[in-house]
Amino acid sequence: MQSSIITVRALSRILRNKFSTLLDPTLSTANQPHFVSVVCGFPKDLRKTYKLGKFGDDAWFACSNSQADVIGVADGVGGWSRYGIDAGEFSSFLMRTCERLVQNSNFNPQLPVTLLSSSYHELLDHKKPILGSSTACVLILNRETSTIYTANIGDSGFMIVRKGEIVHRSEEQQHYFNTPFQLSLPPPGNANRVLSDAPESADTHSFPVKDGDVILVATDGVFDNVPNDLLLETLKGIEGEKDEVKLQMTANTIALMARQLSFDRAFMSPFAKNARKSNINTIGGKPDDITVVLATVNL
Amino acid sequence: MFSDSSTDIHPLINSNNDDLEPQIISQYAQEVVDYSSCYGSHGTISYSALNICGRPCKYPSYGDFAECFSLRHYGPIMDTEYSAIDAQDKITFHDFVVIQFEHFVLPREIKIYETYNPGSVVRIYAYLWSEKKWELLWEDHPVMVEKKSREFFPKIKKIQVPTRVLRLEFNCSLVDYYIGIDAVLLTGIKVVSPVRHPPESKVIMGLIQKKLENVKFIPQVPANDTIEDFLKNDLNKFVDDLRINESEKDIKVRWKKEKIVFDIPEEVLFKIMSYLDLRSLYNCSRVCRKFNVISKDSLLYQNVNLKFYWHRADNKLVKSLMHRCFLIKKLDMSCCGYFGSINDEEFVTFIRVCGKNLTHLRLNSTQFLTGRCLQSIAFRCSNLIELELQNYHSPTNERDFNNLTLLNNLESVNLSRTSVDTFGVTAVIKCNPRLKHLNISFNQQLQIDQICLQMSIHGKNIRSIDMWKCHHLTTAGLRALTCCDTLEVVDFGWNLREESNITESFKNFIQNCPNLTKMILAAVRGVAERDLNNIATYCKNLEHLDLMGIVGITSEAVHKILQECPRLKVVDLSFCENLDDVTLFKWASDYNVCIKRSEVPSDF
Repeated sequence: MQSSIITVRALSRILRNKFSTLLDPTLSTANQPHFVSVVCGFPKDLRKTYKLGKFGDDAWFACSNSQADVIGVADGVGGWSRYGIDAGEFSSFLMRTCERLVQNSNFNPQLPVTLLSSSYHELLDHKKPILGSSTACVLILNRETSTIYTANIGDSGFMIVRKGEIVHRSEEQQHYFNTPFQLSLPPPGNANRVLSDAPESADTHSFPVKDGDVILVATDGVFDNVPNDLLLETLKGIEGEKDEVKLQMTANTIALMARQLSFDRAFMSPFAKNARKSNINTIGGKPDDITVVLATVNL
Repeated sequence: MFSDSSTDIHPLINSNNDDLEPQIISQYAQEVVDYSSCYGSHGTISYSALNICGRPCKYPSYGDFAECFSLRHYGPIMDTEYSAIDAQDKITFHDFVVIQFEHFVLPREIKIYETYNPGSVVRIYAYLWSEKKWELLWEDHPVMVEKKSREFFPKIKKIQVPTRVLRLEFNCSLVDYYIGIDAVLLTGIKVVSPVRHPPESKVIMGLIQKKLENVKFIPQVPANDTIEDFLKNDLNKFVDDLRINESEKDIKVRWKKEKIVFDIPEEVLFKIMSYLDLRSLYNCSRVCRKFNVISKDSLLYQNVNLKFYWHRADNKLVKSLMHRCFLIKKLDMSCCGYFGSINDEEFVTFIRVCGKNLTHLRLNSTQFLTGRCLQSIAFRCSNLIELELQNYHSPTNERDFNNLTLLNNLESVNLSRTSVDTFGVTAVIKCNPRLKHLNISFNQQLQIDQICLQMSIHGKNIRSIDMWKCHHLTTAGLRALTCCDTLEVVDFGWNLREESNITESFKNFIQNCPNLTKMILAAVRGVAERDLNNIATYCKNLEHLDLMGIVGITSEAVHKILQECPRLKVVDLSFCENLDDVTLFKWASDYNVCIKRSEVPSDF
């Protein structure tokens, strides 16, 4: 336990992101709608070295420009390792490219799908062939209208809590049990053997947000292991919280909770429940990479 | 905004000026106004010019990053300039980028973050809004420098006019692979408005000082000598010199009497002038009447290259050229016409008057080109052999290019990064049976397969096709190209993406084109080992092979190609993962081949 707390400290990070052409930016979004956001997570295998923006095969980003605040997570699909492909590279590249695209001048804060799909197409334009596949979830806060636009492909997702209730929640997109929708670039010659979904097949929503709303964006490592009511219970406590340190503590709690439950063999996890629906008799959590991005809306 | 760090580097602030403290700011590029070429295609951000904006994201790492600005070409460019006289003594540039910053400043320092193959920046211009002209801030020859990332500080000219637009020019002749530029930082004194800034301090010059400035006499004083020596030996000479300066009028009279220049026959004068560049010719025409007449002879203006005078080219120049260029054959107006300095009307008139004999016309990255210009070129310049219209995006519609069907003698056409449509290209192929070189790179709107089909029917003389990043070529197009057995240079870079198995059509293609000397297969991800074996078997004349970014290449296949293709000089094997660098290095010296390798340091 002690060691994992130390890791939490090492892995958690208060997000700060500013964009200006000046060497010393004085950009202030303080009086505009914005997110107060923090991140925490664990790779499945803690021995892996920590790299910014990654937890194992999961990847995340959070950035902002003058129009919008953007948060995204992606979960690289394992199983590519036997082709000699690092599953984390695909998801990490996808997220880092999203981050760069947000800073681009023709970024549209109302079209998260376009963001995902251009990011996916940038992958094709990279000199190094980056192969693999990934699920992804992107959430954009349009400052002008205080509206959130989301795009979700696969089983990562988001949850928005207001006044003790879940007001919005993403739905999982699955082909069949444990096989989510995914963006993929298979090795040449394997195209017809691999599931590949177009970025345009992403599930999209848009809805207005209010001051103090809590937003949780996480990969399936969280949603498969922590039951909804437990998540809600934890998120209730930080409604309207603007203090990054307190947010960070909650994010750490959720990540730790997910981590502990995922290794609990006797726990009837949401993953096990879903498995039973598909007539697979199993119990216990699902060890996976865990990424939690937690934000509150500050209008 | 007044940062401590920047004041440290800039002691130039006038500290006496207490009442009006100048504010020094450092800013990164905000947007790209224009560029001549970049590795990435339009609408994407990988390797594109947009990456030069904003703060550096990769520096100080060194590598071939997608997050940096990279040019499409590297190495010495074979293209010859139209007017050799205008090109000599000048540092040629191959590519440029124009960037804009947020605030107007009096530039004091420019920092360029180079992250891959540094040393290619040769010139920096600033655009002065108040005077509507470009000012050269710095220029130097390209240099060979150590292959690591660097912050490049050119020593720029300190100007007193505010600017926020810079133009960087590149000459990649000394770098042996793609370049990478991460960001550009401009430091300067902030000014509110773009008008001329009052000079910082006025130097009051007395009469004597003024006079001394005009004197060309430099006393030859050895290092250890004193003023005493000067007075003893050189004072008389010095005074004499002053007197001569005063009586310049007399010299002129004397010179006139001798009539040195006027004794030279006109033919000789003409011959002498034929060695002069455009600028000197214009200067000559202002000397005297005789010079004026000779220097305006249209035989002197058969090859005009305005690429080196792009910053001075305006409507007035075009108008005056119109009276001199009746016999013009080759015209290069690349990069001309920024900020409305040339309008299309003037160009149309020029073409109407002088275009009849034009055989070569280069209009790459020009700012004034419109559909009307293309129309007048098509109607008037029926002798055109070479036409380059790179980076022309039609403001009206892509049908502009259909006028080009009136031209029937074209041998070389460059339509790279233009808004031309499939019909336009096929029409050019149909109407020009002598077509040898076709460049349609970066045009993703084209249906390449149709173009290949037309090529197989009409392109009996085709030597080279460049379809870099056109994306839509499939095996159907490749099969059609099989008929073009005269092909020597093909560029399939970034095409054939959706094809998983190209073996059959590719084999047919290389079997039927025995003259292939250069083949670019960069990022044709479907290329497999058997295709490489086919290359080794059939492409005996190959000199340049680009296999960048192909996954399944093994050392054996590469070795076989090296053994079987004796003329091979350059092989690009960047981002081919399974290869052993040590063996490749050994083969490079064994077979006397230049093997290019680049990779991204894995930071994720």
